[in-house]
Amino acid sequence: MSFSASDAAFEGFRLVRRHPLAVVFWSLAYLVFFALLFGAFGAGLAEVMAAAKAIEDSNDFTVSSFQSLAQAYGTFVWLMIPLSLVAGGILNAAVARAVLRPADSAFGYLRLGADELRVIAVSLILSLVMTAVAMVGFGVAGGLAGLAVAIGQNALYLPVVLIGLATVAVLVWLALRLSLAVPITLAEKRFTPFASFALTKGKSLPLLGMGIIAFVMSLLVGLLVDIIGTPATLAVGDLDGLGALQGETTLSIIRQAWPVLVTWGVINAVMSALQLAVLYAPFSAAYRDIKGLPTD
Amino acid sequence: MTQGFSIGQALAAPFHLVRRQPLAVLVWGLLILLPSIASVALSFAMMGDIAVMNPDADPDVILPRMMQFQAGSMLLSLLQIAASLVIATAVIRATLNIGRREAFFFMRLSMDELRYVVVAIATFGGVYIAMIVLMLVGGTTGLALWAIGEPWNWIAAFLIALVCIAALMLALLRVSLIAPATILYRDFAFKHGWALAKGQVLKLLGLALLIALIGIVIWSAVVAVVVFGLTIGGVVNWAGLGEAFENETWTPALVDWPAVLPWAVASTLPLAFLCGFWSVLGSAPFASATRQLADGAPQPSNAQDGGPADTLDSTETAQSPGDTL
Repeated sequence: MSFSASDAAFEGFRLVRRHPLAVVFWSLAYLVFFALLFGAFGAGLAEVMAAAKAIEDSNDFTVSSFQSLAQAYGTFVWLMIPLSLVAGGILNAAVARAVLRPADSAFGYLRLGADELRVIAVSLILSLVMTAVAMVGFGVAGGLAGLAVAIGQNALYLPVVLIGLATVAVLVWLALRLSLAVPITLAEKRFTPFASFALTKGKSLPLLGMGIIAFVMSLLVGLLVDIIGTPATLAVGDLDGLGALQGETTLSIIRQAWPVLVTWGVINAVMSALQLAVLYAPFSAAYRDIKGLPTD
Repeated sequence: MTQGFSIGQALAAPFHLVRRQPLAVLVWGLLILLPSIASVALSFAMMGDIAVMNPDADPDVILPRMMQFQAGSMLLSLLQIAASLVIATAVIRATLNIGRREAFFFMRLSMDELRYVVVAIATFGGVYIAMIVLMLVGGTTGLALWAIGEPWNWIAAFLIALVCIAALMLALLRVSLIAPATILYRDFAFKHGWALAKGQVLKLLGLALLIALIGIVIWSAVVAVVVFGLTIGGVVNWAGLGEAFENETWTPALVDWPAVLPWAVASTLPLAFLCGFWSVLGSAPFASATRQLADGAPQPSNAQDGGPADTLDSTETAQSPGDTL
């Protein structure tokens, strides 16, 4: 079966219109995710903000000033990766379920079962594959660049750029070919990370068009939510202010800065939930249309 | 395949539109101009505010004012961008449906506008990425060839720069019909817009250059008239103004507002008309070229994706009530 890229690209909006309550549940899920992240790393976040502000305010930028930010941010990222993987798996599965099994609407399609475990495992494997490809491609380009510097051969910079660009092209192509992995995993209830390859054969360009449209629309949604949230942010301040609380405990930060945290949390939870729907639902719709499954 | 388009007909499109819809052009211009006027007023208010403030004033007092100003000017910029997009689609719609009358001067908030915004951002992003790739490849190729020695390395660098600029121009011209085709076909017309521009690059280049030339001539004439009028009328003391800017002593308080205001009010409508014409000049020729090319082109195969409005008469029938956001 063929699918219409422009039609599938709007699936996120249709999903929000059909099941607005699902967006409420997803926003709440994001809020819980933010709360968990802050609970585990609240004091560290103040350090990140303080380090970022120090760099911003400093006229004398040095590598050492950047090191403190990288150190603070590094811990934050390592904690965020496993949490994001679990939260992302649950939410991606919910979006795919909303498109492919619209009748299972309890709890805004959110579950924590075998489907979610399979989606998390598939996401993990695909992330590792993409990371490996990126490391090989950029590693070769980086090695060649190092060689060019070492032997002073300018002609080597051209292959460095070409290998870098080819790696980006391969990563985009891989992402497109593997883009239906989550809907397949959920719909077919089996662990098949690479089944998407067969299904997307000859459909890379329509999928790319659909992805670009969905991505731009998710940016627009983000911008709209940002505009709507601006008065609230102006009234209570933004997260940059947390830098002033560097060195305090998480509990003390919450006590002093809860209006900022709550405002930021609510605005970003709603924005993330809407962007999730707009960005990911089209891929489930593409799977449904390619397989010729019923729309409802 | 496509039969080509007439540059003359495309260039005449903005003037036809101005003649048939002068009120619409004025309203479009006003909508573009109003956020700018508000922005200037906001800047003057802010500058006046800072000027009367004590330089040693508490930052806690100044900072909220600055933030309010920034938020206000950001909002006005977004409003202007939104107005420009709505007006661009209105101009294209009016050009495609020349002779028809439509409510709200062809302006809508519909799926057309959403698709237009998405297409505009995506094509801008695509061209930007193409520019970066060209710069990287061109730069490193130049670096690799630099060792061949003078004068050949300079010739090679010049040729590479020329090829990169030509490639970028080619890309810009090939994507120039995607936005009007999106309004015409009532669907994301990345493929159709790209296909319509195939084999028309030289004509599109000629069209773009002539539009730029017309724009420069009109702009120069307007600037000359305004400067002449302000000088003859004795409204602006250019020498004093230049000195004040150079010494950073200019503040809105130095403006002779009672003398300027009548001029400002009197010039609002002509200026708005000019702004409207500017928008028409930027979009109408490409919409006309798209119309001409599409009328001679085979129908797109995916009629279910929005139903192409390939003839003048079918454009409006493709509209459905559910299409409005």
